Formats: sequence, C-alpha cells, structure tokens
Amino acid sequence: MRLHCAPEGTRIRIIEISGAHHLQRSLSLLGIQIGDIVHVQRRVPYGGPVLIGHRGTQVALGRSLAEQVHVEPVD
Amino acid sequence: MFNSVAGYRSMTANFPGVTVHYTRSRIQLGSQIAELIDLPGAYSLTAFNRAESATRDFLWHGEIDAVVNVVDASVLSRSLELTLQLLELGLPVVVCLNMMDEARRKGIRIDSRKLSEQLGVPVVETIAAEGVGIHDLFRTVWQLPRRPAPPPRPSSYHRDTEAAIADLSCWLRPNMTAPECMSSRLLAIKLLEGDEHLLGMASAATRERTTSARNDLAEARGRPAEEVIESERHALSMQLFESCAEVTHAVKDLRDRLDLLLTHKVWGYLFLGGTLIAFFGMVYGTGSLLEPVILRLFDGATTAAATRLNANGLGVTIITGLLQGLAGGVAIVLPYLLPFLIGMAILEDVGYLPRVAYLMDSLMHRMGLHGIAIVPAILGYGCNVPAVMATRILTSARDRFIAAVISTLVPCSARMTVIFGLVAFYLGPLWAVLIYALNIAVVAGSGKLLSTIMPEGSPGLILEVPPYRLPKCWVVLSKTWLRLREFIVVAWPVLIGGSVLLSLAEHYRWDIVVNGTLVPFTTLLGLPEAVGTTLIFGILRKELSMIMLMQALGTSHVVSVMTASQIVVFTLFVTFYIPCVATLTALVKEIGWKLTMSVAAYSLAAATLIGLVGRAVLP
Repeated sequence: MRLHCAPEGTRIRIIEISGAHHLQRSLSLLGIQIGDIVHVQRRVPYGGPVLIGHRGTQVALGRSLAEQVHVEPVD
Repeated sequence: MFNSVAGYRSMTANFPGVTVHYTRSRIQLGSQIAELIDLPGAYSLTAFNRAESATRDFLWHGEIDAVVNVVDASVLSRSLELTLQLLELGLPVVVCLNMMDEARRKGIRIDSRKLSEQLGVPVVETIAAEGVGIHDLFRTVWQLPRRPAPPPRPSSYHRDTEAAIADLSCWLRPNMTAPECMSSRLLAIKLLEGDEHLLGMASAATRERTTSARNDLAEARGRPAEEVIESERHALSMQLFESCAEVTHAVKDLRDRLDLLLTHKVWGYLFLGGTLIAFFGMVYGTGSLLEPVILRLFDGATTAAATRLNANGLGVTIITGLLQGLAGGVAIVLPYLLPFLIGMAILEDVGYLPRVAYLMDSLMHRMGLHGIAIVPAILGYGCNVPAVMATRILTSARDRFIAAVISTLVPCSARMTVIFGLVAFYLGPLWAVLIYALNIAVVAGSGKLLSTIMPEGSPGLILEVPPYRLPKCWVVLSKTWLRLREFIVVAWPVLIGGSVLLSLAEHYRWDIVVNGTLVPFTTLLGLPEAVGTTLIFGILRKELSMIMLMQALGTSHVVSVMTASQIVVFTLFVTFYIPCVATLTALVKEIGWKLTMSVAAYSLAAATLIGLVGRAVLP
C-alpha cells in the first residue's frame, strides 16, 4: 500500500521510500525513517496532502510525495 | 530565545522558515559586551534551502567564540542530529534544551545531566517564552573556556565509516582550501555526504579523492555514502536520546482535538473561511470606526490653518501638505494597519499558517506550486518585502520565482488601506470583498500562467506542522511594534514629504506637466486628470497614491469629485500596478534585475487591463 491510500486514524509502518533520495533525506531530517511506525492523522481528498504524526512531530506530506512512500498497516 | 535577551529585534513565528537571514545584537555578558547573532533555523549542516545555507556559511566563515545550540526539547531525538554535527565544528558549544514545558506535555522526561556527560558539553534547560533558564544559559556560555577549546567528544560512526572519514581528513589536512576554521574531520564528513556546495569549492584532486572514497563506502555498505552517514547519525542520536530520555504517556489535551477539527476536510475549510472573514471584518470594523472621527479633526485643523494664514501664500501650501500627509498616516493608514498587524501577529504565533499550507496544498498544486508557497503569499498581505524574502523556504528556484511573483500581486497592508479607506469607506465593504476576490483570481491565474510557461514539476509539500501555542502578549505587541515602527520611521516621512512635494508642485503648477504627460493614460482609464501624479508617487509607497489623491483633488471627500466607478477603477489599478520601490529592491535581490523588470511590466499590463475591464463593466 502507498501512504496516500492509508485511511485516517490508522497506524502504519514505513517499509520503503521510492523515487529520489531527496524525500528520504528530508523525512529523515524530520526524524522519520524507514521502519518507523507513524500515525495517519488526516488526509485531504482529491489529490490533497496527508498529515502524519511520529514521536510528537506532525508532518504534512504532499500527495505526489506520499505516493512514493510504501507502507503496511500495523495491528 | 534571541529576543528574550536582545529585546524584540528578530522576527519570529510558530513555523519554520521565518528568519531567513541573521540578526546581530550586542549584549552585556558579565562585565563584557558580547555580540549575539541569531541564525536562521536549520535541520542540518547540509543545506537544503537558502535559509539553511545562510546558517551554515556563517558557522564556517564567521568569527565565533561559542555556539548556543537552541534545541526543541519536545523533538529531542531528531534535534540531536544537528547537535552532533555542530560538535564536529570543534567550537565551544552549549546545548540549550528549549520548550521543556512542551516536552513534558508530550511525556518526554530528559536527564539533562546525563545528556551533558554523553555529549561532553554543557546542557541547560530553558523555556524561553517564559524567560525560564535564560540567565543560567548565558552564565554557562560566559563560563565556557576561550578558544582553543578542548575538543568535545566526537561522535563515533561505524568502524569502516570512521576509517573512511579519517582517511579523507588525513589527506585533506595539508590540502585544505575550505574555510580555515572548519575542522578537516567535518569537511571530510560533509564531502563524503556529497555536499554540492563544498565539492564545488574543492580542487579537482580533492573531488576525485572524494568520489573514490564515496564509491568505496557505498560498495562496502550496499547503499549510497550519504545514506550510510545519515542513517548512522540518526542511529547515534536515537541512542543518545534513549539513554538520556524516557518517553511516558503524552497528555492528550484540547489542542489535539482542536487540531483534528481544524485539519478536517470539511470543517477545516469552513474554519479557514471563517477566520479570514473574521480577520478582515475586524480590521474593517476598527478602521472604519476610527477613520471618520480622526479625519474630521484634521479637516478642522486644515481649515483653521488656511483662515489664519494668507489663503494663497506659499506657507499655507506647505502647511496644508504637511497636515494632509500627517492626516493620511494617522486617520487613514493607522486605523486599518494597527488591527491588521495585531491580528497577523496572533495568527502567526498560534501556528495556524502551516495548517493553512496543508489545507491549501491541492489548490496550490493547480497553480503548479505546493502548499508552502502559500506562506509567502499570506505574509504578502502584511507587506510584500518579507513575503518576497520568505520565498527562500522553497527549495526549487522555479518555485521561488513563481512564489515571489505572486506574492507581489497580493495586496499588502498599504494597498489594503487604499481598498478599505477608499472603496469600502465610500462604497461599502462588499466592494472591498469583490476586489479581494478578483485579486485572488488574478493571483491564481498568474501562478497558473507562470507554471505553464515553466512546466518543470514542483518538488511537493513536505512541512513540519508545529503544535499550537498560545501567543504571548508581549511577543504579539513587540512584533506589531517592530512592523509598525517600519511604517512610522520609513513610510510616514515619505508620505509627509510626498504630500508637501505635491503641494509645492501644485503651487508652482508643475503637476500640470506630469498630469499632462499622463493624460492619454488617465483618459484611457476614465480617471480625472489630476490623478496622474498620485500614481507616480504610489510607486514609492502604495498608501501615498490614496493620500495624495485627496490632496490632488483638493478634498478628503473623494466621493464628491469622483464617481463610484472611477473610485473602483482607481483602486483596482493601484492594487495591481508596479510593486512599490521597497518590494522591487527585495525582488532584485531574490530574482535579479531582468526578471524584476518583467514582473513590473507584467503587473502594469495586468493593472491596465483590469482597469479597462472595470471601466467597461461598471456603470
């Protein structure tokens, strides 16, 4: 599953970040890495961004970037 | 943090990227005067945007006695990654754990003594917004040993990474071309990470050596060298965090529930609309209440002055100009500007703007930009100059250019006073709303146009959304004052000077020449001939065109000499035409001469076209 499809209110694990290294680097600067479990807080429909939470940090991720993040549901 | 020591001098807000250049201040430290420098916030010493590179360049080239690393304690684990890099600089460092209250709320308990032992540098806990721990912090800084500093304990990477670093730094030591104060170890690390800026400065031999070292490391570890180093640094800071901090349950409070509501796909947008209406309603309500009262006072003064003095003398001309300039500032600009600035400061400090960026992301995508580009645009409603500068938070040059252009089209508070003071005041607030709506359409259209011309894709939104914070009264007031002072010190003298100049021009009939030259233009828009000079002055400061309009027409009751449609066309033109001198200067700095000139030409063309359409459509 890709991040932009993850339903609101669920917890997911990041398993892969495809595409340019840029995204992986930016996320890592915000403290989010492959293998981390994050909380999908909000999602704007119609090509909007996703709002994720991880260790007290909230990050808004645009749709095109969320599409590059491969995730799996937790619990 | 900086402001609590140096007085409110540096702009702050509750989102990353507000400070894009550094602010200096002198402070009394013990018995000596020290220079304190506030650098833009950075996540890493590898620069991703221009604000971060300002920070990095300063750290490498600046003459620094000590570094105060202000860390957000509530996100300690990732903040430590920057701390680890700062330690590599080889400068004396004090780590300041700020926002300890926020960390406690998130359930993070930090053993700062242990952290200090592990890092090998002093660690001080603070809550800067409440002034807690500031004194301690500076006492610690004061007690730091002078240079040369004892080398702080370097973080150690994996053995093969360390070997690669040691190898490269050994080679670099005799061949250093980089900043002298930078340790060869840090330089080696940054080169291994593939830092483009540094590689660009390096000699061909160094570049070759770096490439082979990067390849070796990548081959040994099966992933690119920068990923190896980054993930090791990440792991190091996680280890540090886990050994010094304990995470218990976060306290769920009203803010979390509020946030879920305000980012909701329906309620979020309704709230956003409501906020904007309430905001401008508040500005208009306060302004329109005060404007007529103060205006009447000045009218009385002008008449009194005219009857006292010889009615046609030069003295009365100058005094009338002076009074009208003063009146323009006090009666027309301030009543709208002051509530606007206070409201803006509150919105910024609460932390609502990043939520707006999140909500507006898909809309901004239609313009070929992404959500963060809304931040300069929103700042543009205050003043276009900081808006143009704020475009530095965008990573791609193309996005920066488009965002800079659209933020200059946003009506700043000076233009707002024209819209409110003329159109809303004489024709009703609905007309002002229409002008704002039209402006948003033009801004969106221009964004779309530019992104069609420059089709390269936008890198997409990636933005940290900070928690809501209750704005501190002193911060809001100081921030308002900082911006208001800009108006009083810079703009008002220009307003008064311009007003006097226009009086003199009228007295000696120079204005006829200017107006005469502009006749084809003013008749094209169906405006009175006397308006010509005011449009020229408006390029200096946008408020000037309105204040001088009253003077050029010889009355502050504009409606008695101009028709409703003329007022609207005039305001439309003033709203869109050539950015003011200050904005043009900022633009030149960000995008260069040529592009700035084309922006000016574009806005002039757009303004003329909109004015013409306005003239044709309005009765």
